[in-house]
Amino acid sequence: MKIIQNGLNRLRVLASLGATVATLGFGATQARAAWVLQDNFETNLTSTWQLGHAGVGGGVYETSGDYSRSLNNDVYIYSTTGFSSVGRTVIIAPYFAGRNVNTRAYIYLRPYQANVKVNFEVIDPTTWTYIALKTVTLVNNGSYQLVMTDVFVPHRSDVYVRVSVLGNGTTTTSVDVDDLTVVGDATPSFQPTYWNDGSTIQYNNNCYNYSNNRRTDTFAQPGRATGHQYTQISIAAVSSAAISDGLVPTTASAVSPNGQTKIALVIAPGYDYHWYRQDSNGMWTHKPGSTAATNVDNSGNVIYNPETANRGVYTQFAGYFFTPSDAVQGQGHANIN
Amino acid sequence: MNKYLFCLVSLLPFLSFSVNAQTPVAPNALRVELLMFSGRPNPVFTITDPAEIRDLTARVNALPKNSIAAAAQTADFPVLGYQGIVVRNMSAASPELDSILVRRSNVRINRKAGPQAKAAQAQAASVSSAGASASAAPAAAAAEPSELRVDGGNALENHLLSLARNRGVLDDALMNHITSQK
Repeated sequence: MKIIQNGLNRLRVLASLGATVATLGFGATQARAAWVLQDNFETNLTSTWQLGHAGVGGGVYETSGDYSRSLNNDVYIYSTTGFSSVGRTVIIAPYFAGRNVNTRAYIYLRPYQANVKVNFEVIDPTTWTYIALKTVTLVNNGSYQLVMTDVFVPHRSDVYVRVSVLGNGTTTTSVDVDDLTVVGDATPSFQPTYWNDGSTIQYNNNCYNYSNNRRTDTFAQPGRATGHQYTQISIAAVSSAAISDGLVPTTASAVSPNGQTKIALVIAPGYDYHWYRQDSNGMWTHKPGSTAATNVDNSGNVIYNPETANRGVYTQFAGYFFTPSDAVQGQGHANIN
Repeated sequence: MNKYLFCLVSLLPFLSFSVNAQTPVAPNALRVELLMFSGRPNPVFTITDPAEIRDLTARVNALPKNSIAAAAQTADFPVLGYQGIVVRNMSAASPELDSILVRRSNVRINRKAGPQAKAAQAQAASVSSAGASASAAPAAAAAEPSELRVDGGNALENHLLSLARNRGVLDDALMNHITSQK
């Protein structure tokens, strides 16, 4: 007889997601969201999740709500020898060729009647090698326990996420499996030492380079890469030039569906333009020209909101844009020069 | 090679004149950049006339050293808008001077960490570890990587701005912007 626990309601599902993202370290103090896939095992359970085993063991799709962590469904896997597993393909939406996406997977597991050794695996489906592997021994305490991988960078869009119970060769051990979350983030963190080298990188990469997180060593200008460089310093002219480079206008509250990074344009009319970028922690940073990248405004305060920061003579706030950034400093993918 | 890489040498002669009895090697090219834009390229000009270089050198060497208290008052984070003027050494023949940053009354001379500077630092560390007093440190130990001078009347900054206007890289509109932010 399995331990019985009532299914949880939707509020608990949402609460668990918030806790999961915060644990990942991508939790933002500002409105910024990483790409998140959440699978609570309720939709297309049997076609999405595949059971497997080698040796003595197996698995069961459970839909009664008696054993699930959330709502009705979960999967029960058990093994005596070899291993038993349940897994599914996950498409990492922010990924495209060459893009580094910091990714982490989370899942809830509940041992049944005995301690159990499990693998939480992220697998390259072509080579069938591990991209990430977390091996843990869970203590049988009657509760679902959160297991997470380390942060990994998948160099492909599709990965196979799997939980395996490792048989001990003598007795049967098992777990209930529920509530997978995968979080991917290609937005960089604030790492000023990369940009502030007091040499080539610092002197030849300006605010446009920094906000797009792309080192070109050319003091990049909006529109130059596409032959549509601005001809005057105005909101309309610089915005239009940036759009020609592939940047996408957006709003303060919008969240990119494919993990793009939010940047902001401000104007000193007739004088100059400037860009900020929102980092992975939700705060804003910038690089004033050939000087150092910094996380503070003209008053020396950290920047929660570029619209209200002390921007000196850059008094006009032009708006927000999305850029195809990268988790690695200087490796952004916007078409700038 | 990047143009800025050549700048490391330029500050050396100024420092050498004031802290070392050895004959310094004067730079033969100084790159002057007005730090005022974030997105647009900053106004830049180069000084190669030996007489102008000597004049600039003399102006810097004539400035008194700044006090520790005054140095502590210097803002140490980058800001938007006019941030001063940086003079970088473009000459490989004078390898000790890196750059001079001029902002209002504050003048910061940055030396490149060359063999002489490293030797001086090692000597200073040795003296310190032996328990000698600070006054016992040799003159060479005074060649610190960064040195602050004070220009009470902002004469050096105004001189460089004047040179920029004469070179045609600073028009009236930009000059007004600088003046409003000084």
